[in-house]
Amino acid sequence: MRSASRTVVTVLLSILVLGPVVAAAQAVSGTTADERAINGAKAYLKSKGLTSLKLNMMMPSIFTAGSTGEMANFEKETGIGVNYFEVGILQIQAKAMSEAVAKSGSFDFWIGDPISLPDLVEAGLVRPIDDLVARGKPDLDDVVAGFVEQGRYKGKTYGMFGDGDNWIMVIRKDLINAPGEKQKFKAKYGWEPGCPDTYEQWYQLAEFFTRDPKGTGVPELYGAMGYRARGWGWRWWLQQFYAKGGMPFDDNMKPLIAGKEGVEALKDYIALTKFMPKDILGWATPQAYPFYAGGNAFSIMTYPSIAIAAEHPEKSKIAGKNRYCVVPGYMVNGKLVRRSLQGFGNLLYVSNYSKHPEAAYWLSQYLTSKEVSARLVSGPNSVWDPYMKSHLTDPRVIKARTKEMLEIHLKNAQVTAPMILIQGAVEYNDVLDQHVQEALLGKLTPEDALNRTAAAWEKITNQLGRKAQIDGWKALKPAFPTKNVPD
Amino acid sequence: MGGSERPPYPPGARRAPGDPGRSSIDAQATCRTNPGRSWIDGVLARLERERVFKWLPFVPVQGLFALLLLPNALLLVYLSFLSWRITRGAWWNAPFTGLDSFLGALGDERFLWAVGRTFGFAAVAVPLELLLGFGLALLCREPFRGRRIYTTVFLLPMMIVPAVVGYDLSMLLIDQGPFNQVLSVLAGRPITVRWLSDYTAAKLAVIGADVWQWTALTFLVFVSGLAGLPRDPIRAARVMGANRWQIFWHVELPLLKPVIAIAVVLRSMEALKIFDYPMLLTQGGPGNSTETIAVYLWRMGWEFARVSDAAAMSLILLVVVSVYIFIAIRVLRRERRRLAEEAAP
Repeated sequence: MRSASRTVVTVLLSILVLGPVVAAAQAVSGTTADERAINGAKAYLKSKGLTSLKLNMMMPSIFTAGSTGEMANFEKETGIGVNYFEVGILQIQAKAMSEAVAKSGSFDFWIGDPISLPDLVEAGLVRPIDDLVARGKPDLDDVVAGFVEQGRYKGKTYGMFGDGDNWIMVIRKDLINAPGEKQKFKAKYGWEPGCPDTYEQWYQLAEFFTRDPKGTGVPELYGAMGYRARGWGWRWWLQQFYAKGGMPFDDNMKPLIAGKEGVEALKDYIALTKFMPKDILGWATPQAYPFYAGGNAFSIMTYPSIAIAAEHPEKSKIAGKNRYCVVPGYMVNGKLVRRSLQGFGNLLYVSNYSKHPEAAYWLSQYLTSKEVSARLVSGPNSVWDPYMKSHLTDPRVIKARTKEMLEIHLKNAQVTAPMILIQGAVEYNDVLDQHVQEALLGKLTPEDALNRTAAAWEKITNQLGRKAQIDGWKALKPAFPTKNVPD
Repeated sequence: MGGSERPPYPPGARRAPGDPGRSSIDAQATCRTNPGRSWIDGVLARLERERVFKWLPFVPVQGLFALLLLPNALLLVYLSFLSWRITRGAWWNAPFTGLDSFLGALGDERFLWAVGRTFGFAAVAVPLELLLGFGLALLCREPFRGRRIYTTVFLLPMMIVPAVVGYDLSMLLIDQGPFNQVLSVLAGRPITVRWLSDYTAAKLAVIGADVWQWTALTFLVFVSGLAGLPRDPIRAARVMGANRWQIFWHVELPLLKPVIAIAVVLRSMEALKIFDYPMLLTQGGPGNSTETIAVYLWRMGWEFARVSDAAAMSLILLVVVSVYIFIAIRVLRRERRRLAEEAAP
């Protein structure tokens, strides 16, 4: 008996003492996260008896221009290169899902949004990376609060966060400061024009600055821009709904969107659209950014990479003429509630069917390190957006984005809410998207649109299993901001 | 006629129904003179009698086809009786739910709308492609300077990858884009049709993309059809004093009916699968106004991970399209038979 106790104690002590020793032995050397990624990659190649390696990567086409240079640098340092194939950004989920079925290992890693994470984990495609994170020690501490959690699901880390996509508002300061404009505006609306605190104020700004002097119905200047296209528009409504104090579900997963907050937010969303280009229902980033940078609109609510387009020294007509704003909100119970939305937020995922998951991880860590991510977010064609505290002070990022923009961006991060990141998210969002657009087109009333969405959501929840969905929703709730306005 | 006698018809002539045929009789004769080859010749004769050689060349291709498609098709049928999502483990562990997925599909308003919409698109696009293709084929029928260049130009759209067509059109059709600018110049006033975001115009854009690309195929079919028309009936009609219109209407068009039927079948089958244009132009929007069956099935299977529901829907679609194609092929056969009977002396 005594001998057995001694054995148990010995084993426990061994675990306690040897555990950290083994972990330390496995830890990768290097003073910075990018160095450790390079060293880890080299060690991996050596352990496999290889001198070079090509990884296969699935990448949204919009990301290629801003990313391939850094991948080439990694190849020079380590011998690990990338063969990438491009996919439309909204088709990534479907491609990944087909790989979850095929299990072919046709790509080792990919850039994808957090919406698809729960489904792709349940489908068995995404590899958890906690073991590699423990060895590589990436710069997670530097990532803005709340973003790292977007790559986590059921207590495990699945993706390296790399794109701070919480929205920002941009308005044209040159137009506000034009002679006589401030006075005219103040006389009409009773307040000094500037960054709007509320959606009502944004509406007033949009109305005032929409300019159609010839009365052709095609304004020379549009008052507002946001996204309204299929696949995108629902996100902009969701942001307004959150700012109204709304939450999509109660604790039993009963939809709450068809209430007063949802309907009012949808009415405001529709009302604002009349100051946008008529074709906005078919536009996403490739159309919206050049349009705004061409000086055709007074204001835009979009992804922070708008700063790259708007401040581009050659391509933009409005470089230096922009003012970056904390997102507007609504007065809820006498208090202002601002909400930005993490409207995409890309992560680097490693496939469970990769032959070289570790190599894919090291490249992911390299791309999301302080140094390399700063280069990525400041690149001239980049759509990677700042997401680290260190980006705020990095001169390269400041030059590409402006100091003002970065400060506002990180303020917005304090009031950023996640999208609906639970299993079936793509289907929930698709149904919402469809009905929001039909309301926008006048095919349904806002009430009907949201009631239909709520009914469809109930059906989806029942199909997926209410208990599992309740658990998923509860796990997501802490990711919502507690602040109503940023510090 | 005795068993050892040869039938009184020349070599190569068709044998009458029930006639054992020359080969079999030859084989019997050989059998008597060379008993060693008897069974080989017997088998060959039997094969020929059963018209096996007619089908033999197709066996490898059809075999490969069956090998590749049959397991998938059977799996699809099996999956449609399960309740499997990709996110719910392996398909072989999914619960059997019988006809639930089929009943669900028939009660799914969005699916039924997608079916109706797709047939609507095909009903507009295919006749337009036939008319335009036929018109262009008539224009290129007679020799003229530059005919080859025109023919090549008319065929070019068909050679472009549909995804490229969709992407390019998505740029050309934005409301302040080149297409509206050209229309504005032609109309002499600003044209701002929202081709990608208006409920009706988006449908027209999708149909227009299909027509632009696939008129080339109907053109090709009709060019071949017109070139293959027999000259004698046309000459006869001309001798009898028929004018060009009468010859076209009463002689050429009836002779072209099988070709037209082939073009209708080919294009209808493709038009009912339309995917690239709505995906690239509008993502199925605005709302769901351009969501076709293929787009919805793609979403159901690969975005929503509801594979069993997608399988049931695709089987329902298969039945509907098969009925349509079956009817079209019956019409085609009837026309061919009628033409053969009319041509017989």
